[in-house]
Amino acid sequence: MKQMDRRKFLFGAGGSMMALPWLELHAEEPSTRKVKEPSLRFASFYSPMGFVRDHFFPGEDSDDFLSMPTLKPLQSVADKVTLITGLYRVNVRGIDVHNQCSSCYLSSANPYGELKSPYPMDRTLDHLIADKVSHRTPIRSLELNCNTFKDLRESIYLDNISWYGPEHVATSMKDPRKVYRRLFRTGKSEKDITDLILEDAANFERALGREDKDKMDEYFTSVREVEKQIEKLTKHYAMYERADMKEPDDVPMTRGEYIRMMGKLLVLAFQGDLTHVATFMLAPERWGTPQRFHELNFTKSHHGLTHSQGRDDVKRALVQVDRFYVELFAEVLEQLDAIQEGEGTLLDHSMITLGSGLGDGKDHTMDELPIIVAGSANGKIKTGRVLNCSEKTPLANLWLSQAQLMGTGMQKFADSTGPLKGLLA
Amino acid sequence: MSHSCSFSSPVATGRSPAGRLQKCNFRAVIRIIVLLSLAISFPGRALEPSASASNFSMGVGALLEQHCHDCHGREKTKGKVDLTPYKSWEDLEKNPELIENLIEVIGKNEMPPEDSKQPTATQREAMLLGLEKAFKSAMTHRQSVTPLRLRRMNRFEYGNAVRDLFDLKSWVYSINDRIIRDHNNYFRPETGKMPKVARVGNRIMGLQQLLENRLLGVMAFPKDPPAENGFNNRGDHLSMTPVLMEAFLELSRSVVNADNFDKNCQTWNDLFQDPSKDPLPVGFGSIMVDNSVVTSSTGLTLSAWIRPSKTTEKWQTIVRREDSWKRQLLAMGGTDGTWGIWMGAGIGGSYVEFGASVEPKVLRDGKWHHVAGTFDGSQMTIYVDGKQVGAKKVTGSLYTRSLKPMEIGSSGDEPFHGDLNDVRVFRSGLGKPEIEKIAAGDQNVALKELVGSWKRAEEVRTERKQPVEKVAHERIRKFLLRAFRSPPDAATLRLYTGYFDRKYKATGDFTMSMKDVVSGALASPRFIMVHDEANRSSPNYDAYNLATRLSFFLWSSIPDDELLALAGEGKLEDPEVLAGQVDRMLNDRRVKNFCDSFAPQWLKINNLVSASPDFKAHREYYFGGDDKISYKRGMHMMLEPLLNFETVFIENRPIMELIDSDFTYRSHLLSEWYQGRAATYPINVNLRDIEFTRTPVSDRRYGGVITTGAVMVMTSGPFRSLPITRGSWVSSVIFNDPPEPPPDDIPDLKADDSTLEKEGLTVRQKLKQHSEDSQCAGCHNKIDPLGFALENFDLLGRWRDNYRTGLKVDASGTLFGKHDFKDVVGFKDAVLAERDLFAKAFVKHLLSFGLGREMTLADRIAVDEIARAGSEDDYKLRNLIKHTVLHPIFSQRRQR
Repeated sequence: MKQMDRRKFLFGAGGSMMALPWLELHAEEPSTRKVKEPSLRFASFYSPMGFVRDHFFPGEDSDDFLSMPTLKPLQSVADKVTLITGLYRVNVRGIDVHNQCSSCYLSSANPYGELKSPYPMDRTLDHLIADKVSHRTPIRSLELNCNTFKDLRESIYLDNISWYGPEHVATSMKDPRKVYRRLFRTGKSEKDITDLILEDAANFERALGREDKDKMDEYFTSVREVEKQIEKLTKHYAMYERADMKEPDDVPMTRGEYIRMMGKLLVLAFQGDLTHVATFMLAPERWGTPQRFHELNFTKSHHGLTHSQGRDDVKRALVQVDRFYVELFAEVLEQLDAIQEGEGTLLDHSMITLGSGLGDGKDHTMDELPIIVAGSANGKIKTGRVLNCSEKTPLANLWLSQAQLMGTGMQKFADSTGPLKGLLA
Repeated sequence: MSHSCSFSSPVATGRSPAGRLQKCNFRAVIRIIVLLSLAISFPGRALEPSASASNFSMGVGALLEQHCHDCHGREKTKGKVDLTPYKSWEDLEKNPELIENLIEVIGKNEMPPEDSKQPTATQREAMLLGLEKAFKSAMTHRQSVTPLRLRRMNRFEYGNAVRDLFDLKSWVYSINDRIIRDHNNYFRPETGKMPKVARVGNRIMGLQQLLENRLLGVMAFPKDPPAENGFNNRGDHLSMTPVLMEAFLELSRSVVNADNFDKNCQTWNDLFQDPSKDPLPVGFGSIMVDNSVVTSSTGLTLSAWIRPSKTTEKWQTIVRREDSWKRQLLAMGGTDGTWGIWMGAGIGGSYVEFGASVEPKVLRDGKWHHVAGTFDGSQMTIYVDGKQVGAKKVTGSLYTRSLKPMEIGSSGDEPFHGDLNDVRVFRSGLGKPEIEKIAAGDQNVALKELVGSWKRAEEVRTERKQPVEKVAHERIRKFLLRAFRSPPDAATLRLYTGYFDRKYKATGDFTMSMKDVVSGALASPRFIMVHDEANRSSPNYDAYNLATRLSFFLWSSIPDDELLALAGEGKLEDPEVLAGQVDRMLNDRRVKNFCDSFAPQWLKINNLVSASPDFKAHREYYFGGDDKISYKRGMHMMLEPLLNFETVFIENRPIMELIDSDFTYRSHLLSEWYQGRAATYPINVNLRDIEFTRTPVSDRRYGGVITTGAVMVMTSGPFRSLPITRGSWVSSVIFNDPPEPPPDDIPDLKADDSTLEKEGLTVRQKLKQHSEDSQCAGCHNKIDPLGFALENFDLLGRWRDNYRTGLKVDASGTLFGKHDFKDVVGFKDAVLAERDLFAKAFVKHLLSFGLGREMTLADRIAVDEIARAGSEDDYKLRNLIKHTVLHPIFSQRRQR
């Protein structure tokens, strides 16, 4: 049985008693009479400040994007990735461009609407999807972030792409140990304590003014989410074994090792059906601090490099950084593709996007955004090609298509003009 | 054209995002006092604003028409600002944002543009005066005060709050939010004086700083990022999420269950101790006595009230500092056939001990007794209830340099059985009359000699005879009052006492059941959320909220019992009482939290952590070790402006001394550095506690915070100083006026050293060339002079007259189109000439921190009023803080 391969890969020596989570979970949903489909996983990777264009885009007439220096690492999953060109977002003038890149990326919120925060923000794609699919998994969603700067000199907007709503950040996790504990903690019920504080909070809220209710909503939602997660994890691990992985220790890691570790945790979460929705920031937007790239043998500010890319030596270094991040992204894809699940691989049952909120880091343009979509979403997306969209196609069109593929039934997403033409097979 | 940037506020174009508003709306420019006096010299007539259209059109309206309409409405609409529709004060007052912008650009001489015809100085001031009045009038139609919103504690506050709630001897967790590590107890606000020497470590950049007493196994949640040009206590940023909730739940359990919680918890007996059993002998507390005070001592007096429950041969500690032969103690017990009171101290290089015989049953009669031991340089004397019971001649000098705490009621296996109270340490040997007075209950004896004291928080314990549940419920009520900062209502109390009863019934374990209750309370929104969280059914609801607001402002923590008591008596809102409390709080050591939180964020000092002068080109920035391991001089630099801030704070100096002071704190390394010597240090140099010495400054290039190495290095790149970054820093930090975000397509400056060398230009010339024709000039004309003023400091913070190319540094410029300066000293004078502007900017920072929210247009009036109050006493920092608290915007009541 093919399923056994998967079990072995992840859970080590299991037993024949165990069934595949996705079969079972899907069986709980008899509403659709269609052939049971594997659950679709959604992840969005963010790389800051764009990519050097002439090393990323193959040019108008060429389909050979995998020969581009920056994209070469994706050759290992060549027929399962799609390069999309022509997408753009509105750059709202007069407010900081980098802050918009990251904080507005996944919501593409109406740039002309009334602002509830310094930047046009809204509930982001990952959470709109999680609202719909999180009942399938113990953990609602994962927000992973590979920002290791300890100076925290920059704003919250540069460091987060995932938001519950305007000014309500979805706290991202940067410590692999904490991610590990979240994924694999044996669910010991804390119900008596959460019951106590929920009752207390309900009394508390009753006396509050209307203007404070939204803060209390955050509180209630959070407590219930934690409660639900513990219950579901408890049930989950009563049925399935935990992954055969040791808790990460605090031995110092190189930049590459660290990101790889976070990637591995994401793969395990998807494979074990612990969650089906994730965001992954490879690095924060802007951030003036020099970054140590051990594997590249230099310490440089990625942001600084993008501004001086007119110089050849700078551009060379920048292309190295670009490629470094694409390599790490490709490694995640390879791992997903190595996991058999039913008739396909985990990658086939996923939709993993790598993108950036800036088209060009030097000129700060938001047209021609670099976007790669990996995985065919259960065969629905035509992969292994370049999809050239007409100029200034809203990025929100892609998000709308992805939301629809994830089963949200949405008809419009932010400033979308319709689902992305030509995406589907 | 070139000025469109500064004028095109999003407000004027119809969009009003909150974040942007802030940037434009507070550029307070006007020196109110000057203007008020002007108002007197221009009595009435056309220039006096009134709500009539003719008045407007004859005065300010005419000036606007003459100087502004061409570009703003008539021929062009630059910056999308059209001024032609405004034909009366009423018209203008409908748009306070516009008025504020007009004040800003006219006040800072940004408008009309340089190449246009200028109004006379008198006309300009008359316009400003009219506009200021119109602004106030416009704002009366608006909600004047933004209500405070519920927000969660940030991680710095949470750690402090938990520590204070349980009176922990240790930290809750180790975090680098607190940069300075104090190793010689230098921070003593109650003395009003910074000591000459501060022995400090740098937590965020230093090594070996992690070793501090903290709860084991307790992990902090992630650090909260600061708001843009703001602080990390901003309500709009402090939201709650499942990931954080998980952390809070985890913390609520891990804190009380930490292995070392019990022995660090000084309220253990009042909360967790099973009333059917003996109280833990630990938990009496300790006295920190400061070295620099005691070194001038002539002797020692240890005084205490005791009520023993048990008297055996075994020694029982009353008060004791353990430090080998240097130890000092007062104890009760028997040795060599003498049972009585013992005193010990390190004298003349060895430990001397003396005991006076006392009848045990005299002390054990259930009543309070006073005991004391004195050493006056020639004799040790022991007193019981004011009577001398023994004396011994001892000669030699007392050892006074030990820095360890004096523990109350326990040392090793010498716990005191019974009660202790009012333990006092004096730095001289008091005489018999004084001891008699103390024994007679006089609280005010020899206060000048007093160097430390400890009092029992609670009086007699009567709860032992009561049923366990009753004791538990009473303790929970008291605990919830402190944790929730107001008395719990009946339902809340019932919820938690009911929880206890269930747990206790199931387990029979009092301590564990109480810990469960405490865990619940620590995860409750009533604990985690601040601002407006007090129990609404309490009649003193507003006062309790004020107590919390105040303690989070000045202590970054929960209010103490005194604040809560005053709130409960309804007295806290009385301005005199409030002022007294501010004084008390500013004298309390907890105010270190304010300095640790406000100052580094205000100065954006964390940017120094990531400053990286090129390792090869500027090797001298790195010291100690080799090419692989070395330390940054920034580790020392970072502490200088922070210590200067603390000095201005503790000594209540004018905030102008943050710009220009005649003192500074420097380490040996820093002193050498400023004199151009890159002293080297061995790899094993002591980095844990570095000695910073107060150094007089007569050279006005130094002193204050702006020209410190810290600020100069963190506003530089790897290869050169960055004048624009420096200008932006000065604009944001000193004038609270962060520049607009740059446009999206900034051309590359190509201004690295080699390019400049080739072209034979200075950075300044290059930048000028670069921005002459572009749209950038509008903003850069504003920001750049502030940065070029500091150009004589190189990227490593050292003085230079010339660039390495040999070209002369040009640091001249003009501040706000008014004050010409030639060099950095002239620049400081220019800033000081705008002292009111600086003070308002500072107050705005302070108020934003104090209220935990962004400042809005409406706050402009309050900031002006606070600053004006502060100007009357020279803008002294502590007074400024007090004016802030006393202003209605801070002590506001809830709008019902």
